[in-house]
Amino acid sequence: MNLGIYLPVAGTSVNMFLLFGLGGIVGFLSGLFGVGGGFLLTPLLIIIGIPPTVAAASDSNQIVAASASGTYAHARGGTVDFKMGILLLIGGVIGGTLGVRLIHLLRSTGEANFVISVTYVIMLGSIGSYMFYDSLLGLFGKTLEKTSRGTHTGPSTYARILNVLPFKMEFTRSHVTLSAIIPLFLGGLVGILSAIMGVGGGFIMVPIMIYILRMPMHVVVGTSLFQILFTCINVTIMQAWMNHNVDFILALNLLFGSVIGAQVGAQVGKKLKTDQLKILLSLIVMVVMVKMLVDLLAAPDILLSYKGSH
Amino acid sequence: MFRYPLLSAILLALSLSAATTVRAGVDRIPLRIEPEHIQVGLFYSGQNIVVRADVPAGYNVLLKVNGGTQKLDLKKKGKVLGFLWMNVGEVVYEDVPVLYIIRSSNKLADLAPANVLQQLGIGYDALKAKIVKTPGGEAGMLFGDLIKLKEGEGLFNVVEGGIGPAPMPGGREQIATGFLLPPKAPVGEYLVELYGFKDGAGTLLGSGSITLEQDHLIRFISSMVGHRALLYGCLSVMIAIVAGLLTGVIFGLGKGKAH
Repeated sequence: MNLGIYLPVAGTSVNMFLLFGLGGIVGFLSGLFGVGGGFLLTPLLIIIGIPPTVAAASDSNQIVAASASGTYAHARGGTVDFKMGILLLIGGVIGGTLGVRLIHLLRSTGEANFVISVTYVIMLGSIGSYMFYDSLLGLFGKTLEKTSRGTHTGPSTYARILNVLPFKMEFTRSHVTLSAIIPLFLGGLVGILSAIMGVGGGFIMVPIMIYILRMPMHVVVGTSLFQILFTCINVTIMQAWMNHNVDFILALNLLFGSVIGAQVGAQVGKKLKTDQLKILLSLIVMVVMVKMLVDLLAAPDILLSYKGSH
Repeated sequence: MFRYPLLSAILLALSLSAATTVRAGVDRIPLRIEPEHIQVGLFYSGQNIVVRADVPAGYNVLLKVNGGTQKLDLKKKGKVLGFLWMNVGEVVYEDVPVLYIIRSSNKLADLAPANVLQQLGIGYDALKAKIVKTPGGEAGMLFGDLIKLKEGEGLFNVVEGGIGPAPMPGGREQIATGFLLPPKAPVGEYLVELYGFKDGAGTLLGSGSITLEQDHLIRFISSMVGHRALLYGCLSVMIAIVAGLLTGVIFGLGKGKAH
């Protein structure tokens, strides 16, 4: 039986069960952690022979399915903070636009590749190690906040800044009251980083929601998926329209696996403790960081590559 | 021509040399290519092609398959700060064949001298001579990496010594060889050439072609991608959302009312 399926935009053929499996793994991570999974799936697709530009664009299309499935699952469970998600999304769109301009500027100076690679490794390394350390402490009954606070009992500098900012809003699902400026600003920051790094930004957004916005972990996952859904709808349409890079047959095969994976991930996530979720995500982030570091340090087998690859 | 006597002498010498090393074509023999016409459909994953021919006895043979050429704009990796491997520039290659497959009865070096192979465009050295204008430049130094890249995709493939001619009555030999037309080969027409080598000279014994074309469904999708891109993008998103929500509903029904 021929299991290969032809991908008209990628211009190649791939085993359909391999795509189904890859989609399933990434969908599972998406449902479990609220990340899009592009940072993991795009390199995997490139490894199996999909042209880099098609891999990135089609990946966005399948993330639409996985995040729609995941958002629906979380919305049914009441773990999506739509108000927070919309503010982060608005900030993300503005930040993404600024980031694209910044990259354009860096490319003209010839420093873009260096900045992208170093930003990637530093971001992944610092986020991953911080989450890992914090979740380890959490598993042993402490938190970073408690350990760093010591004997000091007054409000922290961060809390004082939050209190003086205008446009306060109550986010009932997240059980926090914040100035609307904070999620707008943070969304913008992630948008800039996402544009620079060429990824959806879920693995940056999730730690920001946990540590800076102080949202509960289960609301973080659902809200992140909600935001990713709209980001990837925009990216898919723009990539199809402007660059003709979306391979629907590829995305369809991936999404069959990913929508199921996302549901399973969301169910597994409910059974795990917050610190267990955080420690797993931090390990994945650090594995990706180590892989990138190895790519940067090890001499490649082939010194030439097609445009659009990392 | 006579205004440049030195150039004229060189051209004449080259012509004479070519006449002695690449023989004038003998009566062309038909190639039996199976299949000659290939439809690229949804379940296409490359196609095994078999080529058969009855050739005059005494020839060493070589089959060359190639298509049109393309310009390749590639990224080059290099060291930054002495220890980081990053993309540091671009390398451009002109006239790179989209497909280059060789099957032969002997090692290429045993078939004919290098200049003969080069004239016939046979072997990677001949390709390099055609593609790389300045061998000492960056493109020349990275040519081996270009070959590795293309071989990794299955688009370049050279197998030396795979064809074993079988004797036939009437002083002829039957040859049969096969190759995989990889799924990455773009649609179009590919030229199949069979060369015979004897006494260090090469002769084109016969040629044929393979046509690769899209079926209706793949042509329809390709047309949507190219000509109705915005509609295609919106449909892709809508189908993804429906698939995602539908799976969510199915999973949700399986568990009853969510808390």
